[in-house]
Amino acid sequence: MSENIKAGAVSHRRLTTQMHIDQSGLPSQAADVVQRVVRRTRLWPREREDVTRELIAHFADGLEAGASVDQLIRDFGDPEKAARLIRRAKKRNRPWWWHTQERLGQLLLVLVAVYLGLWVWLMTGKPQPSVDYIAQLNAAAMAVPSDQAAWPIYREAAIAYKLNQFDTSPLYVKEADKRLHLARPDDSQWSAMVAYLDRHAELIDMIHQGAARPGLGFIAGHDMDITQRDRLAFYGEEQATVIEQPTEDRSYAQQLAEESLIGVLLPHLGMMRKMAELMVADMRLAAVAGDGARIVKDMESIIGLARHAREIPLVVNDLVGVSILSMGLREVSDILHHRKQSLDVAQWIQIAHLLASIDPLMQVRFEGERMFMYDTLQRVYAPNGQITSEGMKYLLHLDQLIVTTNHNDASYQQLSMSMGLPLVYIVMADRGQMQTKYDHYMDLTAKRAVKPFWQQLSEPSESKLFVDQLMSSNLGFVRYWPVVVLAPALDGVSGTMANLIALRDAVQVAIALELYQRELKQYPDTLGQLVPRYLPTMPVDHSTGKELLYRMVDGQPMLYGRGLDGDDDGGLMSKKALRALASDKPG
Amino acid sequence: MRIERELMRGAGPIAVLKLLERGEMYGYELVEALARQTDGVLAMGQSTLYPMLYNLEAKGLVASRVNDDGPRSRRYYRLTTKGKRRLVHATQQWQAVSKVMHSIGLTTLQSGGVA
Repeated sequence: MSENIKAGAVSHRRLTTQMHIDQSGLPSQAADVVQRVVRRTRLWPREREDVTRELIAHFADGLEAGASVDQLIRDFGDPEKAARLIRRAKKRNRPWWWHTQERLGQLLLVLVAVYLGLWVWLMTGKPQPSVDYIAQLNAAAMAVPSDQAAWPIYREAAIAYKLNQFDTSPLYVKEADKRLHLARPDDSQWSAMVAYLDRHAELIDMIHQGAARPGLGFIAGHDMDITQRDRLAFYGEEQATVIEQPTEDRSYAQQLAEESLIGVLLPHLGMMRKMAELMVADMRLAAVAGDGARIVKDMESIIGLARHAREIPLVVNDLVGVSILSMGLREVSDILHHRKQSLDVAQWIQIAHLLASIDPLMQVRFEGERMFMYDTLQRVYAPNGQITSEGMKYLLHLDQLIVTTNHNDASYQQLSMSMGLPLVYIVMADRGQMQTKYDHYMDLTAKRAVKPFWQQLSEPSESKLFVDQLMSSNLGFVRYWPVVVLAPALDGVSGTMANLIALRDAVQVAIALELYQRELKQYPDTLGQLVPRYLPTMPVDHSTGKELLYRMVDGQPMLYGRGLDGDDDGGLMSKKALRALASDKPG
Repeated sequence: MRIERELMRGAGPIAVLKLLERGEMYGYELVEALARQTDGVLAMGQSTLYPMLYNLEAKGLVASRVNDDGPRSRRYYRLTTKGKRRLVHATQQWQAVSKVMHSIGLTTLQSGGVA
């Protein structure tokens, strides 16, 4: 009913306008002019009625004044021009809200046009990765001559002894609190460990051979790049032939993700840690047997394994190297405590020299982490620096690589990312800005990492503050969110390195004390007496930067630091610290 | 004489305001007055008069009303207060221009003519 009334009202207006013309009594030519003008104005019905009545009056007045129709029509002018001018002028008389609406509508049209234009422009852009960061990552490995590479030896050892499923648990004893320690001669498991190591003597020899090589030579890559032989070493026979191949219909974004640096696999690291565990166990066995030469050889191999693990310059590789070295150092410390007579003076000096040589292995490197970001940037942005649709999809795929997402959600996200691309372009930093921001963060991290640890502890972390600042600002977070997401939390790595350096230094001092005692039949009164004959320089406590502390307890030397609180507690340790020392199983 | 469009653009609306100063007038009345009182010089195309009136109305310089009395319905236009002020201002400007043009010999002053 209401629709009929509405339609009736509109047609009533049209009728009214036509009625006015029909009832005007104007000659047909004049009526025709009025009709043409009014129709062409395309005004609101009420406005058209007003104009109709006014123009009718105009022609009627003119005729009444004695002018002819032709003259009136001639003097009136072009109906189309009249309609145009009348429309423009009448619209000026419309209410303010109409004008506001008109302006907003025009603005919206302009914005939509600009948005669509921008969308089209951005959709034409495509990332074109031009730098092979995987090759850069593998540069050191590729430089190792094949006859000097350790990897082939490790690989064959892994295949022969199925290191992918190798169980090192026979080496450890589980305590009541579920912590593990390497079996000791007084443990019931000791003989089992001895038998275990005896069964794997050939494996241990192979590890020695490999560790003696100057380089590892393992080329990292994606799953599809792993050779058949390597696959056998990593996954065993069952999984050796299962290779994840790229699908035929994969999108460009998928291709970007599947060929990215972030997708590179490092399955050799787990294997190398297991090999290090074997070396440590062998050191213990050698110490019990009083075989100092074998202890030195095992320590050499541990250092070799650590050096090989670090061949690829990523933080994860450095940390595996740290873990391997820590295992070795803790075993040396244990030998010093329980079986120091198993090495003669010359052998202790050899160990000391070995420990002095690991300085280059105790530095954290960040160039690999930078490569992650640079590789990401070249897969997100076009060469001219603009964000791309494929790049945004690549970031989504990255998210899927790291965090599993529902496929349907991913499709929706991909669509919304494409349509939202102009918004991303406006808000998100361009390639140059993103890289500058990231480099600044990494520069702050690197600057902090080279400072002495005790100095790092006393100063706020500029890199952490930098990220916190980005995250606290909504605009900063959105503008630089790849930096926020990909910036690794590296401050903790410095602490790990500092612990390793502290452990190494402490063992060095302990060895120096042992050498002093063997020569002079007594321990020194102060640590200063060890320098320079037994120690080139006196190491410091890395928590405080001050001297290490030393005292005799029950005729045995005790070396300790002040700890983070800076107090001299006489070497007392918390239960937690003692338990940590007691556990030998690497974390 | 046909006046250039740019000159008409400035003069036309002022002429209409001036005519309305005397009292309200309807469309054709204005057309006739313009042609008659200006000797046809400001006889603008009639299709431009009505848009001009609507523009003046949009600016608040004139107001209109419909008068259904008489032989037919007519819309009458009158000057508003704002229109009167604008007319005064425009008059001053035109007088100044006229004076300057006379001083450089472009025009001659005529009696009872120029307002």
